[in-house]
Amino acid sequence: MDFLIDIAITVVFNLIVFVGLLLIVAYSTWFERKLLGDFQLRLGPMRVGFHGLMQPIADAIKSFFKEDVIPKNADTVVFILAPMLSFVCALGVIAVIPFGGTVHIFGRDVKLILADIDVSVLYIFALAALGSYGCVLGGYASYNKYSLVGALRASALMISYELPFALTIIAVVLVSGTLSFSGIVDAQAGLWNIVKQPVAFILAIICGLAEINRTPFDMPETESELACGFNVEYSSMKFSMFFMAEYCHLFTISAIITTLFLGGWHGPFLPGPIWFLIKSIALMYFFIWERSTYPRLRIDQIMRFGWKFLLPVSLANLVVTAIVMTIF
Amino acid sequence: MKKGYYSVDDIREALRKPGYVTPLLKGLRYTFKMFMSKDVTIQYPTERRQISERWRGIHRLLKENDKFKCVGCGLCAEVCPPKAITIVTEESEEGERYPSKFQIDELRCIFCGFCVEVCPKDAIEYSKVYDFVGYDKKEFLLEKEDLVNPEKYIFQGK
Repeated sequence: MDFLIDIAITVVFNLIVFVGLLLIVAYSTWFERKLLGDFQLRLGPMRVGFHGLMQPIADAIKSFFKEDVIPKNADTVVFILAPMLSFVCALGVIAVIPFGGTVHIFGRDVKLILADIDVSVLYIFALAALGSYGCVLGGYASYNKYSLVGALRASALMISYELPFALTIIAVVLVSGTLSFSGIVDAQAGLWNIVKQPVAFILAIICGLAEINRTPFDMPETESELACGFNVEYSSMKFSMFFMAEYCHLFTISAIITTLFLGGWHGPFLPGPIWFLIKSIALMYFFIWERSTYPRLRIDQIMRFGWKFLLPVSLANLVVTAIVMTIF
Repeated sequence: MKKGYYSVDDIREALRKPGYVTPLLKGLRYTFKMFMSKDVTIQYPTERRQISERWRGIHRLLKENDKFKCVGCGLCAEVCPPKAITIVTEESEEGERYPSKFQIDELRCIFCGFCVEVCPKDAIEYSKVYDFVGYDKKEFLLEKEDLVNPEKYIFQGK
């Protein structure tokens, strides 16, 4: 009987997190369109429901009923698998993010984290690198010159920005003394890592933007140069999977940065999950804000910035952190 | 960067000089100001902008005592530069002249206002209806019955 309750709690918790994540992904599209509208002195979606609140549902229904085109010369298997890979990798990150402390239900202590593994940091790097394969394979498989160039740029971006991102986060790991996310959050109970590692915070935001292919680093899908880049041949639900993966990344990168730098779910008065959501949504707001502000960089500028500025700065940050940690 | 690489001095200078970091922050501040200010767009068919009292929308033929004010003198058709008005005058048994046909081709009309100015009976005026659309050129030929109530052409949305 105890065993059954354990399983029931796990299943229900997983379902809540999964459905909640999908809802957040759906509504982050609404959030972004609404905010971009505000930034550009427009209203954004207004027609479907109150202030366009049903817009994500209308979009989903529309994309379900669209014609699904597969190009004649495309590599069909890879073409179909690529958006799935992209989406699954984006979703998987949420498994290691702690949303709150321990909750007492049915005489059990339930940790508000799907998988409290010891190597969460490694896990998210693995998934982030794997997620870029979605773009790369999708662009390669669609037999289109624009998408191929987009795929090449996606891989170039991944290689150049994964490195400073990793070095930045290693500095945080040094400060916290653990690779597990719940450990990192616990280490921030007194003082958030943004105070201990301000440079790393800024670097992580920049690298995170590049990691999720957002403006000003949205090289794989430059509309003006590549006519939408790697997903130019995609239509219907496959396209919306790429789209959902993109917005899922937007949320997960905010969640990761919240966990690493902003004290995760810690906060006064309100319960943990609410603090976690407030912080993540504030970061999402920032990502949309900067999207409406900055133009896209050129590919050579991005490469130069990544290799010649971010990499040395993150290395220096790591070395300084290591030295300080050793001395004190 | 002419050297092709960044040195420590370059990075220090980049952070100190107002040319690298502050413009980015200024940009953020500017967009945030835009975020806080009022939107300039409106919900068009349900919400409309204030238009001028002298707006030249499609024409309206005025009626008095349920009869057209127009006496069919044909001055408007005569003065109309693009010849958009077709008018056929008839005489009733009481000896009153009236237009048996009064047609305005709204595609030809240049909204110059001569017809309104020239009318001796003030029988024609401009309404404020500006969203008049049609699928066919024939729909833009408005007869006198259509011109009595041009408000019926206002776009209502779905």
